[in-house]
Amino acid sequence: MRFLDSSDRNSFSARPDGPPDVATCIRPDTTDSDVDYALEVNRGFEALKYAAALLTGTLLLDLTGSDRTVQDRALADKACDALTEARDAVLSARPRSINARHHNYHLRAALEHLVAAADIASHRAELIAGPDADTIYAAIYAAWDELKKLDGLMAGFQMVDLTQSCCAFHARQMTRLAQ
Amino acid sequence: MADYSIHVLEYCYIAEHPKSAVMYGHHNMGTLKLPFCYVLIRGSDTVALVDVGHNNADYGAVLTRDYKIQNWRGPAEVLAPFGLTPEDVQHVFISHAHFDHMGGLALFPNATFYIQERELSNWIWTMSLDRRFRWLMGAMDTADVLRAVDLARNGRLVSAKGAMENVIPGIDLIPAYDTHTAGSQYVVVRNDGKSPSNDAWVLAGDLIYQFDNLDGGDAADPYYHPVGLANGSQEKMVFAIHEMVEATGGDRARVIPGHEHRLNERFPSRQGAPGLQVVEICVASHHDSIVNAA
Repeated sequence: MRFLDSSDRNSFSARPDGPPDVATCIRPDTTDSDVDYALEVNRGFEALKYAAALLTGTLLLDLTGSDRTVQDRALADKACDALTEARDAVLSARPRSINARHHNYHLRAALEHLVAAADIASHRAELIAGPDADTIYAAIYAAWDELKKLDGLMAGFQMVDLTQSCCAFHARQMTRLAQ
Repeated sequence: MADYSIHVLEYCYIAEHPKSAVMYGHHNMGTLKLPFCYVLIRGSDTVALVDVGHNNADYGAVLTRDYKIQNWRGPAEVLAPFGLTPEDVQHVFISHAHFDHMGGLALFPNATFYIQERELSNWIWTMSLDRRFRWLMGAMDTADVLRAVDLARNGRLVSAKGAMENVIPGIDLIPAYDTHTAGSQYVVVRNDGKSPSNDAWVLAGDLIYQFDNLDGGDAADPYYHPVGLANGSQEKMVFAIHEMVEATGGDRARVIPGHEHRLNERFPSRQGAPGLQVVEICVASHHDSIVNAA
């Protein structure tokens, strides 16, 4: 397993390469205040998604007995950094409409579950062998469930970025050819 | 006589796919049909698959819709010609972690899954990178990590650290590191049970998409031409192709590509699920041909 030390998120914070512009995918029934809210929390959502993926990955590496050395520490540390970023964005957001408040409720729930999971991950070398295995597993599952609800409430909060798949690339190529 | 019957099962397809995706560097050379398949291996009391396709639900459904994947059929329909159900599948050998090979994990509730440890760990490392590296996540669905965690917790995920010979009798998993993906593997079925074998078949996954990758489209003067997508090295891909051909004793016809629409020109075939093809690679001594039975 190779692990790039230079892959830290903080090294790549330039806004032009940040998450997709949520303002471009707003639903017709969305109010201006919802747009403001979405812009406020989108970066937090991306950070939560990132933390969820890292913590789940840490769990999987433990379960499969991967030959890990330093990278598990790096994964847990990166997850904690991401959660700090997420907390700032999520807790400072100002949801005004019922829809936005509903959205923010699930976002906060995801944050709480992931913070709980990260707390265990950052204190235990062997997650699965430890007494908290069921707890961390349940917390991560609950967080994914919360995150998956968000896109249904407000556009621009997808769990998977499909735009980079090879099929997507070729679909775009086919569209250009058709034109 | 053969120990295992081998059939390639098409479960959906893209009608027009650029040839450059199949043959590295072949730009502006038109399109071809790209079938999506998994491979069924049946022994006297064994049911195994190479890969599981993708599930047409959640983000799999988005992929199906947005990328013009046609005629997706679930495994119950795809396996029906064999009198099998998804519950009957005992072993699944995952060639690599792309969505169209691994996305259907949840569809086979009793199977044990085998994947290279390097594929998993590299996948997780890739997830930890900044957005600028997201091309590396190209054909992966992060939700599959959660499904893999489920499997691992239930003792149904085996991560191989290198080659696994006789993972079930006569079947070997061979890694091809840093090729199509970091931890791709191919499957060798030694149908006489011997090593070295005089009756070996190689199931290539995406190390070979189509026959042209094996001979460059020039059967008279063949050369190895890598597929259009490699997260690893095209050079390593070329040598992996050679290694697979060598595993059959040098017979290119025994290396089965992962996305070949012309398999029916070389092997017997019949319709399986509506509009989809079943190709019969070989038939075990204790089985009947399903092509002749159709």
